[in-house]
Amino acid sequence: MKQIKSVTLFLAIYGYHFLVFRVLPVRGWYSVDWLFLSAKASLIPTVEGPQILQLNGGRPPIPLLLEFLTPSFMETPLLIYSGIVFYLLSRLSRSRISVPLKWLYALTLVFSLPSIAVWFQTYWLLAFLFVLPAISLLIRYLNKFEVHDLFLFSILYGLSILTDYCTIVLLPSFLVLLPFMLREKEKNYIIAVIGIVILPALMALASWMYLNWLLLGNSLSFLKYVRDRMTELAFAKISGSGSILQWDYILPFVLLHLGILLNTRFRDIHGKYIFTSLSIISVIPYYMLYLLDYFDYQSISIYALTSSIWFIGLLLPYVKLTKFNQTVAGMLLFALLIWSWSYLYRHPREELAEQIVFPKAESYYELAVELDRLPKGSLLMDDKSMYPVLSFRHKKDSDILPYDDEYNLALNRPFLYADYIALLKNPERDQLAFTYWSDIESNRLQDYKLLWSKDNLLLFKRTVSNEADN
Amino acid sequence: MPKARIGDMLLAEGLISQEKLEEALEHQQRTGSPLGQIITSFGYVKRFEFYNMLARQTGFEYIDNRLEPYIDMVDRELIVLFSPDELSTRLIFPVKADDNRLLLLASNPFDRESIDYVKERLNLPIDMKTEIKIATELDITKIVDIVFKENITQNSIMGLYYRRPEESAIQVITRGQILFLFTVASICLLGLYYNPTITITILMSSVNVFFQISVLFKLFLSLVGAKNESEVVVEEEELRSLDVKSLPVYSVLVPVYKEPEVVPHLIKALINLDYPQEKLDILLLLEEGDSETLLAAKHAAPPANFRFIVIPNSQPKTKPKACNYGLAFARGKYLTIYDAEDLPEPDQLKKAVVAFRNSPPDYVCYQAALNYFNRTENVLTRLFTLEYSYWFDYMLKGLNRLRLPIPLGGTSNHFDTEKLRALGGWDPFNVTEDADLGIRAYSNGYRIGILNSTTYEEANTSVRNWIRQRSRWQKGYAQTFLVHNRNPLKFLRTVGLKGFFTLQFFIGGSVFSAAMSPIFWGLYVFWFITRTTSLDEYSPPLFLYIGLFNLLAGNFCMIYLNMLSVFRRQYYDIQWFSFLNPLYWLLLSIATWKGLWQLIVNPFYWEKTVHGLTKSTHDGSKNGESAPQL
Repeated sequence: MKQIKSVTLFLAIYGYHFLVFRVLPVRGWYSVDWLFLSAKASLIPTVEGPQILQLNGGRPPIPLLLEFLTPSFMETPLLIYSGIVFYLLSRLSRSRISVPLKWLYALTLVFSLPSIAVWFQTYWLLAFLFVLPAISLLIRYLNKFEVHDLFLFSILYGLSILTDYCTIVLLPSFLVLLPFMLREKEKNYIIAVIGIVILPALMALASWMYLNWLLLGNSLSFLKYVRDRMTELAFAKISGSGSILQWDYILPFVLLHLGILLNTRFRDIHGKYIFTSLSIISVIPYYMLYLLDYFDYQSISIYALTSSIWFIGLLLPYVKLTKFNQTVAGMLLFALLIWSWSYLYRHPREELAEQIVFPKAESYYELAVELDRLPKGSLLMDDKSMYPVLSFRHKKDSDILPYDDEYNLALNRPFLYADYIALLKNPERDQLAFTYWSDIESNRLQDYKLLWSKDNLLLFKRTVSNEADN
Repeated sequence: MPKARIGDMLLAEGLISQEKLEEALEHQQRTGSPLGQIITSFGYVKRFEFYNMLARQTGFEYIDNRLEPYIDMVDRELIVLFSPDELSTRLIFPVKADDNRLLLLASNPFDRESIDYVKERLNLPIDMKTEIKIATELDITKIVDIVFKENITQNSIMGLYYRRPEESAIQVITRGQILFLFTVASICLLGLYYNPTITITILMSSVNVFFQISVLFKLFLSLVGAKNESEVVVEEEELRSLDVKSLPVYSVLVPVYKEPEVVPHLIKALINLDYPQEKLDILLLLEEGDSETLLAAKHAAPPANFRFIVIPNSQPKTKPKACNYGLAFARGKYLTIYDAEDLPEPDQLKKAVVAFRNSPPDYVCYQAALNYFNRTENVLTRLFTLEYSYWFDYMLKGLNRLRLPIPLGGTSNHFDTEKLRALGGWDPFNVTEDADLGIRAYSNGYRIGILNSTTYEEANTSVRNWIRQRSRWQKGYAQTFLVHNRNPLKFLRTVGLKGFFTLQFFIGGSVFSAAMSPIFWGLYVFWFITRTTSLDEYSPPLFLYIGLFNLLAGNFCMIYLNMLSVFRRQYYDIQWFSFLNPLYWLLLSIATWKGLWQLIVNPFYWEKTVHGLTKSTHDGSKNGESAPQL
């Protein structure tokens, strides 16, 4: 009976999100990350050796691997997201808070805008796939001191680093919690626990460095990606008048978190300090996370709110709230629910889209459809800028991409190799546009005619026959 | 009718002191055991003195160590109707029967049930006149041994083969298996001849995939095994509330061979067991011709509940054969095996009894954990301890929780004696008879449990000795794998997919992985030093990634799991030696190749592990390490 209930609950959550997430792409809302990953994952079988890391451009490997192993780039986040919601709701059922508060939490979890918007952030979502159970296991370990939980926590945390480098910022907070993880004062025991906690994280990084060294000749090559992201930081945006990072959006988050945490009464004296510390410490790195990464297009408030809702979900089974505190928490959750939707109406869709979804995805989609319709021929393009086309296209076998041996030759003398050329009219983001910018600027290309164009996307068809064909 | 109480008679004769008698009587109050068994097993009164007194008290004649006339009298046609184990269990021996009289030797002349049982088996009227002579347990054992010697020897060696030839390792490899191996080898050779690149690629890829599945399987098992670690099969509270009177006779088989130096420690450890000594049926299994050990055992003068069983000289000279021989004399409802150097936790037998009582009837065995008392003696003992802690504390628990077949450890496996006999005992031709028995039990529908108790052993301190021991284990695993794969489809139907999978990846996989690993390490080192590209064509991308996974994640997982294993026993001081595991695996590979070679040239040879090499004392006091609390 319990299993039937669980399956029904999961199917209901999955069904709801399925409907929501099916509607969004129809309206042109695509996740940047998912488009990128699905494009790159589709190329994995065609490349080997160093190219596999070049494909990923220094990003952590697990998202690409998961995308490669799962059948559809739409289904993966859906399953993961539904899984997380299901997990949190199941924990909620074990919580001792009042029924109305449970319902309010469930509604906030499922229906608030942050929860839905977060679906668009692949790396973030996938990292939480590991971080949430890891934290949950850590809490259980602190409750029961069974080393199995600590072991799994460490493994999951290690995997989370290979999903999103940013989770490394959690390590110091786990080390701060270390005193609570210890039952003995013996030196060897302390060293053993530290070893168990940090080794998977270190090993994950070491393995990744080894792979980078093995395939690219430089163990730290992935740091270039990290550096690039860091240099994109624009602190000016923090206080920018048009930014959605204004305090009024962060405020509900802070209120909610503090309201829940500081008004919490824990089950016992032993647990009191542990969970208070855990709760507060676990939040801090996330401020850093949001401030340091994805900053230029990500909304702090959305992700911070979501993480707070999720973390609270993890802690709820362990807390006991007074009537007053339950009322306060309920009001905060209700305010959050209302705020999140008012946020949507206060900001035009375009602005929100710029922050969290891929802009002008429809144009890429139309170009992909157009390419599929064309007679068979080799297509030259730079997937650094054109990856959405790769995602949407069905025919990919005759594409000439930067990972192919003949790409550089084709870049220099395209008419010898490529029947079609697709590019983004932006010399900073597209290598083809950069190489032939003098022509491309005026929508022209020697030996080719413009076949299709929209929103800076250009498609050329070769006009002359060549010897290479023979 | 008894004339006087036997205790008083012994006291009057000055054979026992008042103090000891009171102590024995007090013990009798607690355990409900017969006084005679108590005082002889405590060593307060010599066996023959007690039986003499019993004869005087009861009026029955005591044979007084004069067995020969009765041996001459034995009616062979009558005795074949009995099995040695039922006579040993009931401590009764029918010498002969004529038209109006049955002559019996019995340790307890008032054991009506056994006397009637004998008559019933012989189709004699219950009220038939019976002449009973009192004989000690040792006399009964001796006469059973002498009369049934050939029968027991033959049964110990060939019993399993006669009853279930398909389960005996007497035939190392079947014709079908040879044909299969020949076919595979031929395909490989043809492939190498016609298209070496594809063939090598397929072979390397297959091995890599196999490695990966093995590693993931072990990881999964360990996670399952580590879950709910505070859960135990037998709680302390259950032990405390155990009614000692209800404890059954427990047989302990101790095969010893050329180990005179450890016998005194062994006897001391067995006496220290927290189990009523009079209910302990301890059988020291000594090999014929090993006079040193026999002398050492006699010199130690163990109490009356110890019996010396001398195994007749015959081939194969293996521990399982000795155990089979001993099984014929075992009287206990339950039975366990200890090695000579073992230090079981004192309450282990009681825990096993409780565990059996709490279990469904399909449980045939409970395996206690094994660990080492000399763990910090050197690097090898530390690594060995890490491996054993991981194996017994996590891996076997994982197998148990998932209801998979469990390869038993060499000692401290506690059996339901009747079920063990029904299974055919141990395979004397299998050099890891314990692992084989675990798989055989599973395929016969029995279950094995894991007991929350530990027996401490001596970890090998010498690399050479370790390789000898491990080569036997690996050879035995290969034997077990071959035996149970004689008819894979039948085995699959019998044990189901998960049992089949366990045999292939856990038993076969252990040998295969250890044998193949050096080849891959060698290739890796060669590539690492030379950075050659000549191997590239044999490594298609997908399998290269699997290989990389094995190299990075696989090896890390195994090391990490070893690091985890220190927590249950608080062996934190040896945790960081887990990083030396690759060296340990190298030794394992050497031992595996040695074992596989022996499987071909000398399959039944028992590579004896030399014990007593440790500098630690048996209470583990060397090197400042904490001794196991026994």
